[in-house]
Amino acid sequence: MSTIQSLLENKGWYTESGPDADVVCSSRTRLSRNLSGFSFPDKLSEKELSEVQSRIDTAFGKIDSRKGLHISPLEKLTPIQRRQLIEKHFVSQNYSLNKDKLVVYDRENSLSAVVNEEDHLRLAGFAGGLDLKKAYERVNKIERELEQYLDFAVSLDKGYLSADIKNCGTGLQASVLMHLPALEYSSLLDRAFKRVMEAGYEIKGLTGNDEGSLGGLYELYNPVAIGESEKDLLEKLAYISSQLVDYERRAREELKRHRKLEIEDKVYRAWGTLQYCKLLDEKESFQLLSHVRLGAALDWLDVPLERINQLLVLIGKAHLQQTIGSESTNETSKQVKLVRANLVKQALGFASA
Amino acid sequence: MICDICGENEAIVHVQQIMGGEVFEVHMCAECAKEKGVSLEKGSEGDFSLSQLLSGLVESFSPDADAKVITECPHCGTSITDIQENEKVGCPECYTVFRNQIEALIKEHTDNTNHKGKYPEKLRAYKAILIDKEVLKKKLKEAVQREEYETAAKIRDQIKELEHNPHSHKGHEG
Repeated sequence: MSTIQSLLENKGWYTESGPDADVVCSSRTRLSRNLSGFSFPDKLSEKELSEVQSRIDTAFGKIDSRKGLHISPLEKLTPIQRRQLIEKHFVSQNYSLNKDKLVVYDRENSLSAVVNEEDHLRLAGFAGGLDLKKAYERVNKIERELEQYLDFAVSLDKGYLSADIKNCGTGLQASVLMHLPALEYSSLLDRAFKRVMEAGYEIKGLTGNDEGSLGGLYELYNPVAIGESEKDLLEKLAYISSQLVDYERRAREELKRHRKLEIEDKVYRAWGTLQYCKLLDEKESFQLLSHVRLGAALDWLDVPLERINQLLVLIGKAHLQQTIGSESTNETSKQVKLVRANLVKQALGFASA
Repeated sequence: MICDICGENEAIVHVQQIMGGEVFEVHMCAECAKEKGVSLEKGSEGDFSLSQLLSGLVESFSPDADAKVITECPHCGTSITDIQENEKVGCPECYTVFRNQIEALIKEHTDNTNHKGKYPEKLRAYKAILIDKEVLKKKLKEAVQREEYETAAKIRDQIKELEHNPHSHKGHEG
């Protein structure tokens, strides 16, 4: 069990400040690698899967960076810890259910690895703001160390071979998590997305369903990993991201000029609600925090943007349960909402520790 | 014969590959061979996928190598219809077996279907000696024919550098 205060001391990619933070929450780069001499996970027997996992486990145990890493089978973690890995974007929901699988993450909460998902190994590096280079350096460093102990499947013209043919080549998928509320309010999203897709990139709402995005959060990423060097791929994605950043900023200026009262109402109403509410569910808090983030980016509210990025992770149920110290039941779900409301109040400075 | 990789010790491992009428050879000393993971005893632990690398090489020189029709990967059993439907393959061999079909699938997403990024450190020495050196030799010959001696001298230095230290060659680094 821990207190709300100790929860707020939890640091990671979601507390890092970075470039263009008024629009960009975070950057992520993922490298897919497979061991030579084995089929991809989907075609492996249980025995082969555990052989692959054990080789990767052994390699992680040998590299210089091992001291900064948590390397653990999921079964050694509590159910709450496993769900926290999802909330930190380290593993997918499906992956977290495989107790015999391995998970690796660093003490700074800026890097993670999963084994035998679609590929044998997927490494993900994170950084605050628009900083794909930093996110890539984090992941590339570990990969360079691992390749001393692992033979990755590679061919000269198709590069690193992956189960997904769109992923071969560099095996690199980079993504940028952006906050685009002004484009949303001004109904300019479709036009912006069209431009992104014409440039060969994809963008999706954070929730990934048809209702649009939760809290105005969108993820921009490269759909194909081959044909460019890692450097070019990252630079081009950074360039298209910065265009989208400009587009969102211009939309914000327009709103301030023509619909100021309306936007002020949204921002201060959210601010007021978060200050006085007693129970907060997850979806509502995403929406309110989105308005507050916009208010902070416009300098109307005095809150650090990183604080809001951090809350977007910590308002997850598993992180809140850590302060309650019990598993989810019907009775505790109200308790979770209460703790969420208290956490947000404390984080935004409405309540003291 | 001296090792192509370290340029110091006596080479005892000789790999020969014939591609498009040209013969490429790599000669390695025991230490470099071991360091590169080339196993001297067949089937032993840590066997480096030299054959996989070389098969890639052969194809890059003879694009129509897979003339006969194969519908299932002999290694993992994945069928070409599955691959075309899901854009997912079953094993690294699929990339060799269904080379042309996979090329076509990638082409639907991007015009640049060749890898331009980095390679594992272990492979860079091979690539430098087997391919880059040959490419440079050809360029050198052309430069000499065109009587561009300044360019030729530069290329000759690059080849020398490659022979002495294949790792330092700035081929593709991400």
